[in-house]
Parts: sequence; structure tokens; C-alpha cells
Amino acid sequence: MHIPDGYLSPSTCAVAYASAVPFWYVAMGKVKRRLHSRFLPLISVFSAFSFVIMMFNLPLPGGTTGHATGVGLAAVVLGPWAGMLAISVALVIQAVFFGDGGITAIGANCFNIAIVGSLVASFVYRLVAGLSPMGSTRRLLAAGLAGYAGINAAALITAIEFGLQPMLFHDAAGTPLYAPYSLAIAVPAMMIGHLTFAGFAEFLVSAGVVSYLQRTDPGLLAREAPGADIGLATGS
Amino acid sequence: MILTPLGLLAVGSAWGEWAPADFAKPESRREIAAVSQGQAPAIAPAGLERLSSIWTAPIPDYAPPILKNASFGYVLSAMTGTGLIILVSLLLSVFGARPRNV
Repeated sequence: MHIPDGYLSPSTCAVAYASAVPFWYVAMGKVKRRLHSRFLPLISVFSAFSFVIMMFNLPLPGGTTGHATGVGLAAVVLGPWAGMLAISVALVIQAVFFGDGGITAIGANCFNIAIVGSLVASFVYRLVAGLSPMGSTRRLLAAGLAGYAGINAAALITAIEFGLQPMLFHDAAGTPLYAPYSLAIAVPAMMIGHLTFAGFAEFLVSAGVVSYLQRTDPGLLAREAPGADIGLATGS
Repeated sequence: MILTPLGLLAVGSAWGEWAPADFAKPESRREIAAVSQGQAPAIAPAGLERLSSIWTAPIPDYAPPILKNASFGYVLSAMTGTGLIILVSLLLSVFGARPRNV
């Protein structure tokens, strides 16, 4: 899901950067207010977790590969804003130092995976978990579904960006200049793998770690949980 | 992190992450076509060819150029990446901890 350099036109990349910046700005503001706490080290833990989990490539049906991203887990524990920062840091380091994802596509990759992924994951988590107790199975399911929805939303928007390229950017003869596949090919190619294996992996990663946290450190789950700020949803 | 080389077991490439040269090689072209409803351009798109080399990462594909062992290189990359993330967060905390009204 890391779009490399050259698959998106420079103008698409510029639009993606411009779309990502306001989210980063708001997220930085939200995190900055909590710098006195142990929040920043916590963000870097989930960022590093995301970096490493993305290295576990899985074979996907059809012959491609994919991986979980950790975006669901980050959104569940850190909330959507700090979560998107955590994933963005991992993505930037992957692009700059390891060539995984393009430099020109950092804006797009962060927008797709970190920003859209976190917001969707967080929305689904809050929706499904409601005010259920921290230790409940419902909350576990909510975390898993958050991961599943987050990674699939990211995959879908990535596929759409790929698929729009040949329509918008081609030479006089109609030969695509950048990503060559239309939406009709890009969307199924991306989604079949992510709706199945990669989504399932993300479900397991989110639910698995949340299950562990429920037993060892429920306080960590409570900090961003719905209702936590009004004194509900504490205890298990 | 020790387990990361398991990620090397998955053969093939992620959809849409092929190198421009992959479009020219018959074998990888077949793989691309197989996952793209039978279609694969005969040559890499011009813009892709041009932009793909815009940046050369120090450790491309999590494989340090000086290391022969892919698994060891992968583990080392995971450690390097984690270290870099910690470094970024330290820099951010130093930077962010400065008084606001300077």
C-alpha cells in the first residue's frame, strides 16, 4: 500500500501533501498540549510497532503481497490524532531511509494510511465499543473491527488514487504516464487482498494487542476511550 | 523484531509497487498481468520511469547493501527504523518543550 515514486503524477502528489498538512497541523497542536505527560514516548512506541508490523509481508490471494499496518491499534490507544502522527512518522522513515513508498508520495501515503486509516478506525472503534467496560469482549471486537475498517479504507483510497491516474494523465496517444491501471483494475486488485488476508491480519493485530492490554494495562485503553473524559467506562 | 524475516517469505510484490524494470522482464510482466486482469504495459509508463529514480534510499528495500544475508539485513533494518523513530520523538520532545513565547 506504500505508493512508490512515479505512480502518482506530481500534481496528484501536491494535492495529497496539501490535504495531509492541515491534519498534521491539528494533530501536532493536540499532541503539543500533552507533551508534559508520557504521551510522546507512547506515540513513538506505537509508531515503532507500526514500522515493524509493516515489515511482515503476507502472501495475498492472487499473487501479490500485503501487510497489516498497526493503524487500528494506534487509533484505539492513542486516539485518531496522535495515531495519525505515529503512523506518519513510521511512513516517513520508511520512505526516506528504506525506499518503501516514494518521497513524492509521502503526502499520499500518509493521507491514505495514517490519516484516513486512523479516522476511520477511530470512528468504528467508538461506534462499536460504545460505553462498554474496558475489559469487555465487545471492546475487543471493536478494536479488531477498527483495524479491519481502517486498513480497508486506506487500501480503497490508495486504489482510487492509482485508478484515477491513467484517466487524468496520459500522452496524446492515450498511453498512461504514471500508474497504468484504471479504477476497474486497481480497485479489485487492491481490495481483494485487503478485504481478506491483510484486513484479517489487521483485525488480529488490533484485537490481539488490545486483549493483552485489557489484562495488563486497562488504563492505557481508558485514556482515549469514548466516555473516558466524562468519567464513564472505567473499570472492567 | 527477531521474527521480521518471516515477512521475507511472502513471494511476489505488492500490487502497484513494481519497479519500472519489472515491466520489461517477461517473468515479472507475467506476474503483473496475472494480478491485473491480464493486462501489463509492454514498457514502464514514461512518468514512472522518470520519477522512480528521484530518490535513492540509504537502505533500499530493508536490505543494507553491504550485507549478504537478507534475513539479518531485515532484522537490522527493523532495529534501525525503530531507533530512528525514537530519535525523531526525542527531537520532537526537545523541540516541543521549548517555551512557547520565544
